[in-house]
Amino acid sequence: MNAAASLETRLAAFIGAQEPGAANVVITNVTPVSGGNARRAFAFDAAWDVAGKHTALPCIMLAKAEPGQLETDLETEFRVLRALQDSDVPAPPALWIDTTGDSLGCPTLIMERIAGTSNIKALLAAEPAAANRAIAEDLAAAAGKLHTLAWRGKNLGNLETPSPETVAGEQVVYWENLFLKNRMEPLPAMVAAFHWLKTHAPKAERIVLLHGDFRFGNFLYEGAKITALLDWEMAHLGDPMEDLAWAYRPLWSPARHMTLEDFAARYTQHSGIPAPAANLRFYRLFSEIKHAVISLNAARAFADGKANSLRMSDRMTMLPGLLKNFQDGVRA
Amino acid sequence: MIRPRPEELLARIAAALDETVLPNVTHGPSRRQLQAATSVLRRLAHAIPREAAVIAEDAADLEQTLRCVLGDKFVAPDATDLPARHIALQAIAADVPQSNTLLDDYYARSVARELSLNPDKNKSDG
Repeated sequence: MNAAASLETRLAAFIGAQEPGAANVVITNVTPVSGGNARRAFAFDAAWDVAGKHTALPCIMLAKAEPGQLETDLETEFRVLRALQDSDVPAPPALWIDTTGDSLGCPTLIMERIAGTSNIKALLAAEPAAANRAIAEDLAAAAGKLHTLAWRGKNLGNLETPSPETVAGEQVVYWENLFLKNRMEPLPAMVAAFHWLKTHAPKAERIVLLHGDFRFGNFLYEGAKITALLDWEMAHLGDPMEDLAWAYRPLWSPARHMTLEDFAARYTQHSGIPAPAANLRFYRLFSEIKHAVISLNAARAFADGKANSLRMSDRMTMLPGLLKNFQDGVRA
Repeated sequence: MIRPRPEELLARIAAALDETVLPNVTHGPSRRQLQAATSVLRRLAHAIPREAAVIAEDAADLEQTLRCVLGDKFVAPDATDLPARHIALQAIAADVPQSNTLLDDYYARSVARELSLNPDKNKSDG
């Protein structure tokens, strides 16, 4: 039995066990696709019958094969996607989860496959300017939908509920702890950056559900419409400005199509949520340091032999550029 | 030192992999791994001949800065090996009460030195 046939068999057994009364479960078209952050991803089609009713679904499975840039909780990601299911937030419906990996070989999340493409190079290109601006506008609208979600009372897994007064400081400490755990040298410039962030942490206007990796490259789109926000592994509760600031990190910023000021104005128009300039500035600087920690974690995972992706091997070389962005931003 | 020097060798290995192996690995994770490998080799080819001078300059700058910031409280590290001394100086800086203008200025100079070792990273995310 080859690997694809073996996966088909295991998926059929797993889905048969998950869907009450399911019979004749058939898995076809298992195809490897890009999954990001050290996840193995496969597209496949699933079909089954329940009491004579036939169901067919295009699916995507994300399997945590090895440590990635971050250690994240698949169960919480699954719960967040479930919480979004009846909302107008463009997100793939979460179907099933194998938390332990007992059924599918490693912890695995299965979602419905949504139509659309994800091509960050095309979106960041100068042309077609109008079409790419339209996508940026729809991203602002998607942020508004997500941030106005009534999340209280929903099962969001292990997500902690911060207060508006302390949320920024708590985020800084969270990332500082990851930095202290994974740094391979003292890196005093990073220590100083965390000190600055802790002493400039603003109060949030409100606490909302954040995507956590909200940016060009992390969604599917068709025409000028975003069909699904992807990669929810860093979702958490926090200041809405954190998502907006992250979207404008230089590496993936849509600024050539739409300034952050225009993006924020459109976001406010859709959501009614104000975008305080001081909070945006803080989270833009925070984003540089957050990205630096993610990069350090990736390089450390490779150096320790926990991950084998060569793309992670020298991610620490991102650090000077990210620190420069931070230092320039502080001095601006 | 007998040539080719490490940096010359790394650059040529990257070029040979691009010319002779990459065309035969047309898609998928193997191609991405290979592309990442050649990218790292090229970065190392650029950085290796410059790294010792950058560490020496940075260590001297940091030591001078710490002497100014800490005054009589500065205790020079025992390490004489330059990379070890550099790390020891960094550890001292990391323990200094923060928000120090002299150290902030040093951090900016230090980041500029690091960027000189990785010009491509500077371009892609500056």
